[in-house]
Amino acid sequence: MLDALWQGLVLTLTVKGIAMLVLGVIVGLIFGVIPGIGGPNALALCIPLTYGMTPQDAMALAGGIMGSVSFGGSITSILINTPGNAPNAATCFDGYPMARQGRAGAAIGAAGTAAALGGVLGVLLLLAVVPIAKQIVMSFGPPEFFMLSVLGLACIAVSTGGMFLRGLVSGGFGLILSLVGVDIINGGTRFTFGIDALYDGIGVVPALIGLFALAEMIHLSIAGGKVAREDAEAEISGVWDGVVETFRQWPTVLRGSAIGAVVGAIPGVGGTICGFLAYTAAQQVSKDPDSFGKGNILGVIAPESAANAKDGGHLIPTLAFGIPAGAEMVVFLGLMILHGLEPGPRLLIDHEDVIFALIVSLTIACIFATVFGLLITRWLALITLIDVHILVPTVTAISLVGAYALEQKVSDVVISVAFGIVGYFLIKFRYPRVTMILALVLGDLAERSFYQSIKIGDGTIGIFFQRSISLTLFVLIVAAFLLPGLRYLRSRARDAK
Amino acid sequence: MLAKHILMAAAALLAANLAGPAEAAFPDKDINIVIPFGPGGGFDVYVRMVGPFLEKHLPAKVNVVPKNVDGAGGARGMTQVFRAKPDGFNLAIVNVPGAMILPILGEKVDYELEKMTWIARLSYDSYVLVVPAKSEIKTIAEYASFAAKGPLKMPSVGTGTTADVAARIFLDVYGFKGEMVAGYKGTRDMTLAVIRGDTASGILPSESTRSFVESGDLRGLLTTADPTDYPGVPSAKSLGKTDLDGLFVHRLIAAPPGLPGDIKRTLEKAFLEAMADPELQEIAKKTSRPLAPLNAVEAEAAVKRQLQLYLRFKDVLKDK
Repeated sequence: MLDALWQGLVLTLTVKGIAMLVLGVIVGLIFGVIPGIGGPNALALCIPLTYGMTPQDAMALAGGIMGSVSFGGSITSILINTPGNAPNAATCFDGYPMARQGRAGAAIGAAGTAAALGGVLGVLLLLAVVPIAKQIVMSFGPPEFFMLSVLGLACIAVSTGGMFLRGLVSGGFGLILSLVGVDIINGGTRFTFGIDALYDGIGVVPALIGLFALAEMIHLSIAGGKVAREDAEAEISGVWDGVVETFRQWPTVLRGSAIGAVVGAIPGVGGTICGFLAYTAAQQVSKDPDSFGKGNILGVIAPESAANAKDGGHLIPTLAFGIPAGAEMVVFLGLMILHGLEPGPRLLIDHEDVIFALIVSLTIACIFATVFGLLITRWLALITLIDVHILVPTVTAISLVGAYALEQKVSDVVISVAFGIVGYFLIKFRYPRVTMILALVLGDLAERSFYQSIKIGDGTIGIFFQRSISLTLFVLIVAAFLLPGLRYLRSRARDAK
Repeated sequence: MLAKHILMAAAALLAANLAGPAEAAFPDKDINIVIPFGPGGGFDVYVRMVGPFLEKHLPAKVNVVPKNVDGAGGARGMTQVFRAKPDGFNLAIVNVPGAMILPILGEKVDYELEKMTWIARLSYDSYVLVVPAKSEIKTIAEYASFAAKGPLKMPSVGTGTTADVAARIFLDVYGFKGEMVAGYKGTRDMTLAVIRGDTASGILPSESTRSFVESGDLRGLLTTADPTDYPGVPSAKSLGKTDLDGLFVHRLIAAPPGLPGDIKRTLEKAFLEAMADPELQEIAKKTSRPLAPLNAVEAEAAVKRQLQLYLRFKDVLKDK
């Protein structure tokens, strides 16, 4: 294995390989920063560029993109409360409050460092499990998918800090929205009102752009001023503090990376959920859970390490079975096939060198993206000091272009605007928006896998409790709901003393 | 300087006019090929694989631009090409029978497959009945006695999708009772479902299953291709089930209705030459994406044949 790794390193570290890697990182950062368009678009754009390349160089380009998109996406989460990509949504919780307190530099420093560490740890995990990748993917069937999606929903409701019921209300609304479109099970359409644009359901990305970017812009333009409320100029240089703090918080990094890599390895669940799971886990083990949501740096470190570690995990089902774990992997799969790398049981035997070249590129990209990103943080953080009269029209225009660019559908722009208005009222009446977006993401998976489980289990729900992984997940769900209650009771008991 | 430019432009115009009527110059701009599915799937890969070679064999140097227009189960992309100008610059890769199932099932679609101009076939794929390799079922006869014990569960993407209707036709031909477990994300996901044991068997496109049969994760019991395309697996025809013979997925290139004959011939020739290019054949072989070219007449006949086949089974294509 070490031999193969060395081979991969040699193959990647050619002049052209490094050039491709750097190009990938730059493209990845840019696509990451623009809300709505992310890894899948960046990869799709680069596919034609790779026509004449060797598979190794193509993997260097792809690795560069995948390793850097997540960090790019965290920057907008922190600066303007708008996740660049869905997996960065959890970073908004504490990243944006930090920016408002004038600690944007520290938040970006922490996000970048966590992303680099998470990415490297995710790749290490990938290396460790390559021999048993098959068993891991095999042990997750529909019952486990259902439990995982419910766990995701439970975690998010719990992590909304003091707004448990409001979180559930907003999540319930998201679940209803996830039902719109073709009912895959019987082929009928639901809640489309005869509108063609709703046939395929409400896209997550247009909804995300509306709920976060547009809603935030409406909110900002009504409130006026700048993102950073306090006189923050002196603090923007706090990048290094964020970097150091992340290394000091290594248990959170490790936990976040492990969650990201493991959840990322499960096809169908995708990357969005792992950021939330890592965030909730960090909050639940913290001695001071109330400080989350108010600018706790751990709330940035945990989801960012998970969001970047997921790439390593994502590659497991993609390489071993040709089953993409997320949108990004769908495109990546196309790229692999184009270069004669047929994913499946024989890939690792036939093309070990290319796979290790990819692993090496992904590792280097994670680190390089962070170093490069942090070098320009000082200027990026200035965004929070821009007056809303300039910021709002700019971000709105970029967001709407992002909504359109994804699938070239004008209807997506309309959906974005509608969600922007809904999102504004959610901000105004203090309902969490992330529960809605996560329910929209997971509703489809939950419904589908529930139906499949029941069919496979001959019409009984016993199947959820007879399989050990499914049962374990169920216990975690119960724990997720009970923990905040228990903590509340304990703190009351302490207060009474 | 400016005068020089104007002079040159005038000269170019004159030359173009002298060269004769415009249609002789086809193609004089980029050719779009609409893929009615997202990037990364089989249809996408075929277009991206053949595209560069089509550029090479077209009479003029233009780009071939793959365009993913997914949505509405492929209907969105199909409609876009159906309504496009029949000038040869708007083509689509068509999933047959996929594109004909929706209208057969009574869904309203805004395209008419029979009116499209068929240019060529790139490839086809057979269906294979698979069970997990660890299953005790080793032959189709053993499978039949297993089927007698209760409804056969089959993985499916959803009602009206190609593998779903293929499985329903298979069940009907054999008189087996079946039950579809819908909701899988694609044929790869369905393959995994069978390996994992979600269902005892599945009817799947060969392309998705082949590497898993070769690796010993799955066992094939029957294929719809004759002669058989899997060593040791009997063809449906050899088992006397002629209705299943030729139950395929075709990947065809089509243009909007009313494409002028000369443009059609130019495109047909370019596609056939591209697929005969040894370099492309090498890539196809290396990536296990076999090419099975048919010319325009043969492609149209293949469409007609599939249409008749599916119309015959119209009543079993979905739950009543």
